[in-house]
Amino acid sequence: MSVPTEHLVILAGILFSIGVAGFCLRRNLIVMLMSVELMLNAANLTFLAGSRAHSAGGEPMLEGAVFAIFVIVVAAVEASVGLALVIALYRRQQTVSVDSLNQLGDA
Amino acid sequence: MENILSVITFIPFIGMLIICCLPKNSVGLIKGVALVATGIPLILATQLYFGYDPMAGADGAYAYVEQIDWITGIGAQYHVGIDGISLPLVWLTSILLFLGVPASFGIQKSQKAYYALLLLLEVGVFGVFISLDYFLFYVFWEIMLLPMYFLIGIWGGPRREYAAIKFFLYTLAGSVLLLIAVIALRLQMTDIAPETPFSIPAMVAAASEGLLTGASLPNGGLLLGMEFSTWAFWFLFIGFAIKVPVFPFHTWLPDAHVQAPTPISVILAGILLKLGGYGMMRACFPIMPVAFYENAYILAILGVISIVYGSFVALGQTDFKRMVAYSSVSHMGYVLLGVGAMTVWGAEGAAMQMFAHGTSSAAMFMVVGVIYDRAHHRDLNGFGGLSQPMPVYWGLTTICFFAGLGLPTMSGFIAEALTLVGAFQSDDIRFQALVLISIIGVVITAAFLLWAIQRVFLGTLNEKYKDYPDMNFREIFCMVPLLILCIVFGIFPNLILDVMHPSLDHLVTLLTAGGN
Amino acid sequence: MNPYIEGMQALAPELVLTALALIVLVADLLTKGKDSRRMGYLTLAGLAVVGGMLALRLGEPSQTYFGMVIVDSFGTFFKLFTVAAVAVVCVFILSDKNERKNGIGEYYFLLLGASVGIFFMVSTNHLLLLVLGLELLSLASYALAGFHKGQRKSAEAAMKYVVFGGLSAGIMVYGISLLYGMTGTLDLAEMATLAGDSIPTGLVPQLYLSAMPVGVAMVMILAGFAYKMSVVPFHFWTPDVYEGSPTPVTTFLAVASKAAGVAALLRFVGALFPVDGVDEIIMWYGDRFGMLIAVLAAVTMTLGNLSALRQQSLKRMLAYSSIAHAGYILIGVATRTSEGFDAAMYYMTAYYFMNLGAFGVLLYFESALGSDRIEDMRGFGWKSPLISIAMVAFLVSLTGLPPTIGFYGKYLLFKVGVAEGLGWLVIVAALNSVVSLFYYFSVAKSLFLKESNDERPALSQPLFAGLLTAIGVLTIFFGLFPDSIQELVEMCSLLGS
Repeated sequence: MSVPTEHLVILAGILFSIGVAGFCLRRNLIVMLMSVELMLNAANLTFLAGSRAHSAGGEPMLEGAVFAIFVIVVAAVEASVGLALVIALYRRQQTVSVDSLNQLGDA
Repeated sequence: MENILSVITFIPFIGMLIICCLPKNSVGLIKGVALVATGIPLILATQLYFGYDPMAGADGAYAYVEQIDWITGIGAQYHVGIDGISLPLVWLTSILLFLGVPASFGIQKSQKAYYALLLLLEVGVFGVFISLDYFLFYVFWEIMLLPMYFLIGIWGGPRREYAAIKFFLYTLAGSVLLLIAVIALRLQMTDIAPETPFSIPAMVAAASEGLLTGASLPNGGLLLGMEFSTWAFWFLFIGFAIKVPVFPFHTWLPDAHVQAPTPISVILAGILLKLGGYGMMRACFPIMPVAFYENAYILAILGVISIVYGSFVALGQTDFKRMVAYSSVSHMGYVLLGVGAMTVWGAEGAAMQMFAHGTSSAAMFMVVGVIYDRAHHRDLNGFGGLSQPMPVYWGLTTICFFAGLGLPTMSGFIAEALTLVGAFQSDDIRFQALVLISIIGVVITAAFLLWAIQRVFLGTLNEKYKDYPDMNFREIFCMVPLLILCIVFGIFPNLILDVMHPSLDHLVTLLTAGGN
Repeated sequence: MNPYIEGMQALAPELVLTALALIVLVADLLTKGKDSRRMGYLTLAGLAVVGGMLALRLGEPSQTYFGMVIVDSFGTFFKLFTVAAVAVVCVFILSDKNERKNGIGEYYFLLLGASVGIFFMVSTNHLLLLVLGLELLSLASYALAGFHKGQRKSAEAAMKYVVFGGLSAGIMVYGISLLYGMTGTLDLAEMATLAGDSIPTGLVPQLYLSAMPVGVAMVMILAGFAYKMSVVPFHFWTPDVYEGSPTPVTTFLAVASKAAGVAALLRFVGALFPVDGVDEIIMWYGDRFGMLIAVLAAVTMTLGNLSALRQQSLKRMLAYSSIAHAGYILIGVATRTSEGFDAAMYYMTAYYFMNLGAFGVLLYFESALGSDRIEDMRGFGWKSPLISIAMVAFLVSLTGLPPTIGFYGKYLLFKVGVAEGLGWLVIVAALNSVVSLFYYFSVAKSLFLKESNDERPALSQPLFAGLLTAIGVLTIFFGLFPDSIQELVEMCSLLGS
């Protein structure tokens, strides 16, 4: 017995919402980056669910699964760039709060 | 010469390029080039004017036409030509720009840039008057703004930055509306015949056949709930009315005039205001004849408001230049009233008023410039008794003001009389009331001009001013030709009316046809 | 021929560009970063080769390789555009004093890497390749934005760019995953045409089933494009990142990166919702989608222009102005017609000239004055007249006045707008260009109308001044004689005519 597709999609939706909420509500840059990862993972889950649902006819449809793998790679690279910048920020200002990004803006 | 119009238009441009290449210290040479580059068009335009066969402009025909493909992607052409409406204005332009050069000799700041911009301005103005392609017309129309912005903004008075950007913003606001209407018209033209050039005469012809009704546009031409004929007409009209300027779009004018240096005020009043009136006659009314017919009375009312309001505000001014600026608002009101009446006399009066005002108001701004160069202020109440140290100035000013108030034997009289009589002849009985109201403007204009003469020249001489030198040769040279024109056309109005008549006759035919 | 080899031949420009990027990186390593100027010249030479290869391809019929890479004139147009933009950015880097001090060859590597991303992004209808190209571009851009890592502003710009970029990428990828789940395909052309009986179901049956979920997915995907083009509400990063990044990078972001976003959006809309769609419901849905874009256009241009009004810094002002220009371009997209797309492409070309010019002048002022405040440029027009006159030409073009390329671009956009019943949007755009005159000419005012109180002499950079003057002359030339560019655009038209 397998998990119904609807459940996977709903779970992914919840994950995505948590990600958006986390991004909007938290001031910690690392948490914000994590929220982005969560959103991407929600997308991965949807891709896999879709891939499986569309393969039900017999012929495997792997485009979604492939996309998910690429998204994992992209997410990893984005995280590494993002974290590198966070570290640079921390070295300079001893904080990882988004509020410390206050040099630029409309006067 | 076949391509004489292009020669007239682009000689100033060549002059501008030469000036750009000259070192900025050789001021004499720069002035010389500017004189030559405005002088040649003057000679050619004079030749053109007196060699022109008035019948060449009959039945909507044009003389000296050049037509070359330009932007094939949208069917725009380099299509130029003149008729009886544009020729006098081309001539006026060449005269005023030529006189504007010696009038500018007093300017000391960055002369190289000044004369280069002046010549660029001349190119733009000539271009508008000779364009028969709407796209070309629009391009020249906008090119003109840029030199004007800098001429006011760099060489103007204390509040020059404000005045320059205000002038620019007002005119641009009008011309973007104009652009939208032009685009809508153009789309219909290409629907009728895909290969039609972007030409104004073609649009006029299509309009007179009742083809430009907006029916082929999406939603039947409805925009923001307005019928095509309504919005397109008002967009075009406002675009030109801001330039004229018609009440209530006139508020940029006093600022621009007061802040601009004297020669620029002369050109602004003498020519740039005419562009608005000319644009209406060429590229607005005949293209939207039906809407024009329906709204002619409103236009005439706006004209009369301009006449009366302008004169009353002028009466209240203490700044000499502001007074003259408001008198322009008043005088240009006749143009709308005359065209709105849709009679041949009214149209002739309007066209003649443009020429007459071009000479008389230009001379008036020179009058202001002469005294400002000496006293460095323009407070009408601060002068007095200047007739004693400056008799020549007094005499010329008096002639000039008489031209402005429309004394018989002056061209202004002919123009205003024709306008008022033409409006009185209108089939629409309401126009007679408008004529009666505008008489108030005539009286008030006489009052403020005579009062100004009294305040400046009569009364007791202020000790400060008693050593003022009279007008020098350069100043007289700049002013006298304009006054001669005022008098000559006042005594022999047929010299100009004959040139204009066939074209205006055709225009009035087109406009009255809008009612059928 | 072996389809694999054939595909590789078709992708030759991309391959050369990638190789060039790697060569620059390795060569820079080997010379230990001492000779970054040579790297710049090497990059320029390589870009010239790529540009030549692309130019020869113009006009060739459209071909699809490996099932996802489309080689067509539309893509080639934007690739050429990118190459030209990156080349000018390289010249900017080479002639900028500050950059020379930092002078690191990685600059060029990152620029070239970003270009590879753009190349793939503009030449695919496949959402996977689209996302990969977009991410490659984004990742390189993050590093470029933070290139002056010693400067707090630069680091902050990069951080903000990453955070917002991550958010929009997350939203976009999630939207794609939903769309995939519904339709079962990632290929836009397939998605638009698949009928209901087959197992991947396509867009049409999904729309008949229920339009709402498709709408959610579409709006989410739009977020990714909006982010690249800086369209409201995904524009927040633009002013800050533009201001904090090194000016050559800002130029790259404003010109090349935005153009890539436009190209991808055009492909997306063109594939799914052309105005003469195959199915009734697609047309019905496309109308709504077009209306959404039209509203976004109106909001974007208005917000960009109004915010630009109160800027003191030229760099920030240009950032807001680039937001406004994204709004103008969207007029062409919203019509969903071939003419509209062509107008958007023409406007993009106009945007190329005037923005490269304006950012070049900005760079010049930054090195001459050490400041990008408009006020500090007082009277500078009299000191370096040539560059300042060129700047006036760019400003006139940005405002959209004749006789410049920007005017003709606006004319085309307004024309399709009126022709397709978006008259209200055209009026909003027209009034916006009046507003924009005010802030653009505050620069002209500062340059020419104010008196200078700065005794420093003008900087002498004949090469750079020559480049800017040339761009200025072209801005006017193509405004007066736009036919050649229009023919190019029509040749590269996406939807055909």
